[in-house]
Amino acid sequence: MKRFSFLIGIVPLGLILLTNCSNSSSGPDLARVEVGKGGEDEKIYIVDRTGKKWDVTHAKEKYGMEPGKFQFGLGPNAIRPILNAKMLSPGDEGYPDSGRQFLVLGTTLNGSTRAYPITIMSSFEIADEQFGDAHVAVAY
Amino acid sequence: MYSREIDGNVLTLSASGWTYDYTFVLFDYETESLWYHLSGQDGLTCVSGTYADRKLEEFESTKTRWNVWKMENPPTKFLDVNALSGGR
Repeated sequence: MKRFSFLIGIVPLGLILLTNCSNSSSGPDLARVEVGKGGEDEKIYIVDRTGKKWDVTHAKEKYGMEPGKFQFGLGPNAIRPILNAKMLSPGDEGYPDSGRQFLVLGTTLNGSTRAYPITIMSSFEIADEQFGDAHVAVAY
Repeated sequence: MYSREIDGNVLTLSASGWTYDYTFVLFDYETESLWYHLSGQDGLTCVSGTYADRKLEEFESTKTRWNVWKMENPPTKFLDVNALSGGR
């Protein structure tokens, strides 16, 4: 078991973002936490930099995830996944030489073996793929 | 690598733009549920949303050098990086 990696590329950005402010005293482009005002609306939200609210009440109550520890809040369209990826087979134009030493994420499922360059996966983070009948997300 | 099938439905998983404990929080386009790889557990757990408490199975993947991977897996297919759009 291993968790996919931290978004190293946005660390510098995170250093200048205020992500753990409570309520709405932050500017509209900063991620923040909002807590419902009581009554039926006692939900806990994290609000990303686009203003989108994410209900994390269950995450906190069931899994102990602290709303203030959600970071960055770049918005759901900031990092878009690879969809309908085209794969190259040995011999295809653009297929890398066997001796090259760049890092890849390799996997085999349902008789299909594939490799994804880390430099690309660190930009997209997710590739929504299909291996035979299995729909999977390749995650980095 | 994780399954993105649940109850006969296929999810489109993507980064939500959030991290938690230095790990990405994912979401699915279809229900906007949040999915997270909880420490000490296999697979992705839905921590909020329609599929709360459900899991997506994890499959093995390996981070290695291309020359090593290729030597051990000669017929491997390779992502066509010239046919991509999106990312960040």
